[in-house]
Amino acid sequence: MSLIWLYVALGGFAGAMSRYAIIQFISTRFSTAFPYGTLTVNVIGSFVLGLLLGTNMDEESKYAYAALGIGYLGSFTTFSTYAVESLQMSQKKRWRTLLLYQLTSYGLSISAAAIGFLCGRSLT
Amino acid sequence: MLYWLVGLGGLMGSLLRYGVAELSLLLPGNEAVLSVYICNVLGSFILAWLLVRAAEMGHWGDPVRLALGTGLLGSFTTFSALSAEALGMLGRGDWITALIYVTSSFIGGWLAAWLGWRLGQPTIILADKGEAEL
Repeated sequence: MSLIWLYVALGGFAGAMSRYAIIQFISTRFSTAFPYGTLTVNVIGSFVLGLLLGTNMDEESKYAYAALGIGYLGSFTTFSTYAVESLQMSQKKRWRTLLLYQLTSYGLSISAAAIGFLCGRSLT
Repeated sequence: MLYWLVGLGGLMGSLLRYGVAELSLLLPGNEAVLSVYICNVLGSFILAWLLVRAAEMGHWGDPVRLALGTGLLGSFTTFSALSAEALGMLGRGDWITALIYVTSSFIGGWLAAWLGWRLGQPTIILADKGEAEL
């Protein structure tokens, strides 16, 4: 059993706690129908992962990448909650909200990853 | 206490996700994209199912939802790797592949959540043609 698993697990532990804290914080302050909490963690997490990949961390320091990239950011961002929220929107026939959620989830997250990647590149 | 439940669930979810990624290395082709996709769709299915079931668990509902839903399944599925994979496709000029990946993630996640929600309904409620909200 490689030590990599331990780093992934520790990162995953902290990432899930951070996600829960941020989503709780946002949902208690902004009680809207739109899932800002999930969107926020996914966009921020995508930016930071892009940043790590831009600095080539995945090739240069395997353990740090296992803890931060795979463990922490992998757990900090989430897809299952996004999918359930999308289903809820269509069940309530909130089609415009559903469309907006898709465009922002994919558009902002991928853009954030791109900006993060470019920032990472310029650092190295 | 609740934070620990989320954290421990997250620990297990990230290990399972890493396990799927390691297993997918045995397959030929685009294994990284495939493993993220499998975790995301499978996790969406189980989460929707779990949320319907947890609504029936009384005072056990909240800890189960936090440990297994927010913690384990929240961490088993991921969005940052999806963004990075899609960005990689765009970077190679593979706009079509990126579009297919994003579209199939939406459709796969939505259908999986729908199926989990549907299968989570208790049989009595199904017979009454009434459905529990997620």
